[in-house]
Amino acid sequence: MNKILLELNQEQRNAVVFNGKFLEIIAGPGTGKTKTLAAKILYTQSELGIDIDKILGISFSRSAKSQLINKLDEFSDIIGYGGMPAVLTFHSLAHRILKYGVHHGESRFRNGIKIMETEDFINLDPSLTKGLCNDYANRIAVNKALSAAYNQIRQGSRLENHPLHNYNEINNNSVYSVTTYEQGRILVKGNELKTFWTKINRLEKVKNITDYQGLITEAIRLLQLKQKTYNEIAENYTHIFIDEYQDTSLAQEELLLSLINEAHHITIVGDPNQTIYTFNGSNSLNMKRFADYFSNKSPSDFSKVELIHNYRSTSEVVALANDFIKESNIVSYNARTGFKPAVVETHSIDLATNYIAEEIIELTKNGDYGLSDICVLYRKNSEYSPQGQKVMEALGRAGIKYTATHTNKERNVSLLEQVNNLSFIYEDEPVQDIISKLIKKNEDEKLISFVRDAMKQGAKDTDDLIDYVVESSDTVEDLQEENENQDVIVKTVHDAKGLEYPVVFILYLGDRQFPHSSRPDIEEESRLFYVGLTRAKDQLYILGQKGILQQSFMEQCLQSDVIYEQYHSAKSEIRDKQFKDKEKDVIDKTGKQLENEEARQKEELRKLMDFF
Amino acid sequence: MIHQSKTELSTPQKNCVQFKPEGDLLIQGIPGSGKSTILLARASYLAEINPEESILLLTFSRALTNYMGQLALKTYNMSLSAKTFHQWGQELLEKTDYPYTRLILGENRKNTINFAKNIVKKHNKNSSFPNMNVEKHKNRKLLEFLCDEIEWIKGTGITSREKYLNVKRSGRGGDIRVTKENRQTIYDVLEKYNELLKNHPRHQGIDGDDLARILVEKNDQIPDNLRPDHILVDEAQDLFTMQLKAISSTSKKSVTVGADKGQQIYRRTFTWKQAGIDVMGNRSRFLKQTFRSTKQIIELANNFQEKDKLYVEDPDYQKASLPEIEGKMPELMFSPDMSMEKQAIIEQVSKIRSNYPDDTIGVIATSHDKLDKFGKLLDERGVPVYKVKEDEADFISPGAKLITFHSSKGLEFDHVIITGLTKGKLPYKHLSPGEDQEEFMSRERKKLYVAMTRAKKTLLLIAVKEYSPFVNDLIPELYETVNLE
Repeated sequence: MNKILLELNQEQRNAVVFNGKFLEIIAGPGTGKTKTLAAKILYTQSELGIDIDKILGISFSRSAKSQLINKLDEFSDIIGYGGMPAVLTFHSLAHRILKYGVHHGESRFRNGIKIMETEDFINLDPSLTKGLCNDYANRIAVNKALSAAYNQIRQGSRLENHPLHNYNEINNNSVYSVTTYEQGRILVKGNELKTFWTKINRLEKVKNITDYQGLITEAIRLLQLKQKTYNEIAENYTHIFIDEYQDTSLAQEELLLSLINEAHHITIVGDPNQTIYTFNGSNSLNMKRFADYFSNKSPSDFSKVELIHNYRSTSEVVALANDFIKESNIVSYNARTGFKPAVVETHSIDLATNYIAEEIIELTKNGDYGLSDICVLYRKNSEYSPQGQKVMEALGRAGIKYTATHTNKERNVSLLEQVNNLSFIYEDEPVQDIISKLIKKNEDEKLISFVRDAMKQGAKDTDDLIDYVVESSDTVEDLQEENENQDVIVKTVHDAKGLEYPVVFILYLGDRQFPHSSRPDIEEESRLFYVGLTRAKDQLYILGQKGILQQSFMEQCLQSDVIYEQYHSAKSEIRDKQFKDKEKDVIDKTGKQLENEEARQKEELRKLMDFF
Repeated sequence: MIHQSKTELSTPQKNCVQFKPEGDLLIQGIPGSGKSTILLARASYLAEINPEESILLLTFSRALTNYMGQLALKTYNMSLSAKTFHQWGQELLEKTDYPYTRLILGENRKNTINFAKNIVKKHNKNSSFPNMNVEKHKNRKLLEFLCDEIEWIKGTGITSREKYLNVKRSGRGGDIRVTKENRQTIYDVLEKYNELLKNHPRHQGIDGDDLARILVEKNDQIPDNLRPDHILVDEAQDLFTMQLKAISSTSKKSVTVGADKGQQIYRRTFTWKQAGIDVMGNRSRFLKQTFRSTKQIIELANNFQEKDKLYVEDPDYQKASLPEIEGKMPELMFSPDMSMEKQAIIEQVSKIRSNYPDDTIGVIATSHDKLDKFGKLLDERGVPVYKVKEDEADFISPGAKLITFHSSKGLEFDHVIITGLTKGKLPYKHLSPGEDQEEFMSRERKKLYVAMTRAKKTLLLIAVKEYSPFVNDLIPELYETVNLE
């Protein structure tokens, strides 16, 4: 173990060997978060003698999970010791809790529960929204609004300050306003939402189904009963490690708090500055709340460690990122003087993408960088703002090979459906047998490879398969084998969280683009931009225009030590005609007179204003 | 202008001083008289004397919103909150209990009215639509007519059939006769249209006129923190009475309105009082002198504009005085075809870019199609090209700004190239339905006048065969004829 501890810096080591119960690790970008977490998990096993079965990891994304698993593998190879703990998401943990609940007869659900999207309830029983929100003729929008409101009040933070567990908690007179793409703002009345929830409850009971948030809500209820389910779960996992804690919702936080007792050890890792999923119910105050709660509860058991040494980026990139958020929560470890970040002002997305294509050719010409060292991050790809599309077109035109990855926002419903079906057909059969049967029946290859993957990660029966499908549909990004292709990577800033690249391009700054929308959440957009900036190891390019009516990220970047470039045309300009000297004299004079006149006007106007 | 204001203000009647900075202020003026400049000066003044108070600038287009924002930054280093009426209205609407906030504007609105029209036609055997005096596209014309008429009815605040049947309708030309039966049918369409807005799955929402009305009706529901202390409105003649009412009832302290009749491209009629704007005696300023351009350019433009009888006879007409700034004579080029026109544009832009690389160049054309072609042409030559139809357009940075006649309003460029002075394009060959020939010509003329007065330093006009009749209204003594080198 010492071998590994020697690889860590002082703060990282402090975090690993801290022996209190509640640890918060604030980990800025590139500060070795995964390394520290993996080391601490191993330390817990090897030095504290905790059984691997007692350790639970909770992670939000598949890429974060696989990074953690890889690191654990690497470390256990070094010390020749260490097992692989369960790494779940909050949803798959909740699913597990439900299974126990069913087993002990404490849950309102039965065996073989099916998980679906909230909106699918309405597909299953269209009468759920009948008579609700009658002002609105577009029923699709109403269905979406009710589903969104139903999710948000159970998650907490958006419509209600704390998660609601039961429809009785809704105030009949509340009016919730929910924004939909189809119909703009829709008003949902408290009593309508109550009716919706009541009807869903009935449907859930009859059909033995629930939705993702329903898993969390039911898990909280089961734990708070403090009966057999609680005892079993609480005893099963005594050492809990949670990654990306800033992304938890209030309901997930409540689940955690409902689970623990005096015996538990909790380590959370996160970075409030990288909270970029508030639209999914996360909250940048999560880390602070955790610290407040546990430092109050048992001050002697609580510690907070801040990892500040950034090992990823050049000092120039780190300086820019710190300037941008007006904090210095990371310091560059290496005093590398690489290249200054470039801020490129253009006046259209077309020009920006053109610049990127040209620059990529330049960067890769001498073999300094391979294509796969380069990542282009865009804010948004929509009809109004086709940033991703334009990047791909420009790279395509320039003959640059690229791989575009994008998150499948719609959860993989068909897979979920298929796995749900499997659990009926092959209940209690070993996964190995299921695979051979599926192959024989020539089933969907995606399904087969999913089952295979799940087996590799320890799935034994169909119930476990559901755990994994819940988890995979829950994860935020879709990690493709990026580095297999030697291509430039094109993705959204959101999807780049947790990743790093030698060369990063970010586009497209400007009003309504980045920060996005005509009424942007500036705080969230700033954090998102910060995440983008801190992906770069060596070279960073920021493209766009200055904001006029909204906060100007470009102006902010220009305050730092950067290279400022203007790129307003893709070709070198032909200027082959001139005014005659005489003409030029006249125009020059006009210009001077206008200038004087404008200055005079400005002054006189100021005086005039005093009279108005 | 300044001189004139000073003398007026030195008269004994200085009561206005006690109103500042509260109370409303109307700034009227001819193009180039710097209404925008004065609005910005006022904004900067208000911000300076009361830094805690909020200021909002409203304009009629997104492009103008952007332009004013840029100008405020450049001239006063002030970050100004600027929005379009619709954008702002929708934000406020979301705070009321009115259920629908989806805006039905432009094409969407047209579709909805068309749908309503068809329903009325189909289900109402007695329906009687006014006869459009056109050979072709009768249906399209009728739809345009209905759109205008509905906008007028709603914007004027008429809410009953009775009232509409008896109201005197001004501002519409004489070539379309609208009988009482027609009015009945038009009102049927209006009612159907309103019904669709209320309860049709595809059309449910709110149009610009209802938006204004609801904001007035539900004004007490608008939270205090969303009410600006001061609202400044640019190009206010383009807003309807209801919209101005909504604005004046939402602002906490003052409304400043910049308006002008010479630039009135859309057809609107109202009095300030109707709009709830209480203009204090000498707090209304009519700006006569222009300082944004040269004597030579303004002389040509004025002379051209004075050919418009309707305009000159208007009691509000004020002859603009000439600026003192001397400049190059405006140039007019007669081009036998489009390729020569292109060549002329390239040459002029090349000259400007060689000698004045930091200047802005406004390239004005009758359609976006043509602008796209010019844009490509200039782009090929490495000229920075800005398409102004894009919302985030940059008007301040050097380069060629591509813009239509219509949206050139309120902007200014160091150099202006006006293209496509061709018969059938300007003036446009078709009248709007229901429009009077004389009024139509007056409006088309104003378009060219507005475009000319966008220029600060140089102006090049390009006539392309068959030449526009407007070319004959430009006096040869006031311009130089140019040929390609």
